Amino acid sequence: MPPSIDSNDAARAHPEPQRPAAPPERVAMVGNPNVGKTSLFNRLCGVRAKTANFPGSTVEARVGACSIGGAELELVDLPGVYAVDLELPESKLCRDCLAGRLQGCMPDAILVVIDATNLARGLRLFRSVASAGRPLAVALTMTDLARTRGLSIDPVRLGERLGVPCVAANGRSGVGLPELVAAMRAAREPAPKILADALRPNWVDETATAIVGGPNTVGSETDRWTDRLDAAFTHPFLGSVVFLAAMALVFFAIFRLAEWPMDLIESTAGLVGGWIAAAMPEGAVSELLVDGVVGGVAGTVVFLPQICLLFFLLALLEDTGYLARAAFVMDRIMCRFGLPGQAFVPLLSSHACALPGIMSARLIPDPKDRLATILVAPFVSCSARVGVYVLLVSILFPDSGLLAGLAFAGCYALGAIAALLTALLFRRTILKGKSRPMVLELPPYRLPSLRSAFLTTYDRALVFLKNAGSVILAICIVMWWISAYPKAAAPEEALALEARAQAVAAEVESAPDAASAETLAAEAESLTAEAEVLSARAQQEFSYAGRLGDAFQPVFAPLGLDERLTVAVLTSFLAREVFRSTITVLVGSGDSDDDLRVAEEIAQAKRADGTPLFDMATSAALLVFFVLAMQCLPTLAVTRRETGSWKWPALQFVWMSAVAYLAAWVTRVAVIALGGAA
Amino acid sequence: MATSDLSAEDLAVLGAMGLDANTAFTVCRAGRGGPCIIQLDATRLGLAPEIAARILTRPCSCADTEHCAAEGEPAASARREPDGGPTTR
Repeated sequence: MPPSIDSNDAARAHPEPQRPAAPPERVAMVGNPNVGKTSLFNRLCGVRAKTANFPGSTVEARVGACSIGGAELELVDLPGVYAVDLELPESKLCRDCLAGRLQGCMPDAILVVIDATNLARGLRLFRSVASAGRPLAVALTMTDLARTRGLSIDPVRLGERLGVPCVAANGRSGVGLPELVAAMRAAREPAPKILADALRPNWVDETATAIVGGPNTVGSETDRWTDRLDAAFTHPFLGSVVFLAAMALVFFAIFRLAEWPMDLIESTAGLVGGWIAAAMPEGAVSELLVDGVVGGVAGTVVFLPQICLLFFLLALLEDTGYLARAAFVMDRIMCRFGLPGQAFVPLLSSHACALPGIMSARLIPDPKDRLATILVAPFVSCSARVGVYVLLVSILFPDSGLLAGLAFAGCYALGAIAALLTALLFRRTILKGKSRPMVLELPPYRLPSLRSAFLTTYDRALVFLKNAGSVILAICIVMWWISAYPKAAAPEEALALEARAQAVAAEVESAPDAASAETLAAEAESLTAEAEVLSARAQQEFSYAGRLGDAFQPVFAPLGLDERLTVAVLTSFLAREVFRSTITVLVGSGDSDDDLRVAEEIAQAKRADGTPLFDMATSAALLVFFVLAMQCLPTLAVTRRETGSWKWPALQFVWMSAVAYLAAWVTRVAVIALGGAA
Repeated sequence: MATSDLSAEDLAVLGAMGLDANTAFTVCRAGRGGPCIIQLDATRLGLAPEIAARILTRPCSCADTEHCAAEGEPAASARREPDGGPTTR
């Protein structure tokens, strides 16, 4: 009987005198998908790792530092591949890395990670990697699973056969890591005789047969359990129900559990803004810091809890082996729209926020599928739209909860339909071409690793924050500037109100009793608030954004928008939720947290000719416009980052805006034709 | 897998995943027009209908896939069929 799997002995495993002159400093990790390579990387590097993007590649690697056993190594975790010579983005990245064509990523040695339960496939990869001519070492993973299947593999014998150090290691438990680091430091090129032997067609099968001991246990208890779970999770109907339930839980968590940290971020930003405003003299610099920098960053970082939750839960689901089954089930539906099954997760996640949705499109292996998913994800109704929907639906159907509810649900349905139809159109036109048909490995069911999920979340959060601190911040500052400048003088009416407020406030101290004092103070406060609203309205109209509103009003006139609504729509291109505050300032009595009161106030607003500003046709057109329009600068910035080009966010913006405009115009015409103009 | 009329690119991907001509595998879920699941040793693969429909297999003459391979018989074992009978494409 062969020795046990865990009998590592790195010293015995590299008998040939092919050792390089100096131990390697940078090691690239190569392996098939789902072999536990990233678990090993996470265990070796912990938080000392970062995601590395390379020009011209949509695939990324992770680079980290490892200092186990006193050795300092830089590790490059390359994407999982089945072979390095395939015409796939991940294979090309591996080829380029191993050939030293990636700047800053030239490895001194290569660690080939091989799944003990699938030795033959790992050996094929070893053979293709060995031709790179670099020192090699092998990590044998999944040895616990192999043992449960009755398989026995001796890593020392395997290492002798391959002519390189080979050790068994487990990224989840940490078993074998010091030996693995020693093996990487002792990496060597296989002897020429072994390399020549590996080129024989039967070499893989012969080596696997010689190394693997134990019975062929296909049909074991493990398989029976997998069969039972797969029967449920991959069933066309039951699998869809399970998937929707799982996604509903994820969705609920993103929506509800993220509320508290999001509120905390917003209140912290408010505090920081207050401190800066108090510490600095009033002026442009103070406004820039408070409204531009702190306001802009907070407006984006507020999505961080949702992003973290999404990636944490997805990492757990992926680790269990379930996510691959979900993609398998959804492929049946999504492929009708030119999207793969994996696209369902980003699209569903986009209901919470398009940012994590777009970032989670990395689950999709085919570049065109991934791009199509990214481009259509913002059509899906996100949580930021809810405030606008509530406002406009309340104006449209003030007396019918049923109709309001149906309109609300209709908004979500319209967004989803637009996303799927756009995907179908793009896949048949600009993203035309044969997409990779689903050939999906369904990994074994396992308990998820919390450590790996935390590290994945940490990594994604860092990527997002880096983006928020650069591109998004710059965009937010520009948008703040065009809304805040040039400065308008306070209108006479506002000055008069302010003077009246001061006069009333002066009377408070001489009030005959407490009740009168309270009434006077309230009146002074109300007058001041009214004056502030008038000043803010004047500032909005006088600012560059306001002037843009005037200039663009003829463009939006067919949708029924006057100058004020045009300004509100234009400023909402920063973020949809801005519409509510802008319109409240422009036509309401000021900012308010009470949606219904705001809706009532706004519903009473009149146009210059005395007709209602929010007639049914205009309100319906605006609602459709907000369902379909691309009004979120952080989303555009993330699209640019994920696609590596401004071309795609530009297309996303133009297409969505055009579709929104056209659909809104058709809606308005249809409502007027049905007699709903007023 | 007996034969297939897949493109060279698809064949290369399947080959790298371990699915070559003369590979014995088990059909775990027959596609019936949808995707199907096969098992190669310990690995399960989900195959899109357009891939599965282009793979031609021959049912294994016995339950022992190693035996079939040793006999040089192109074989796909129909060990378990949750969806029904043996699958031959």
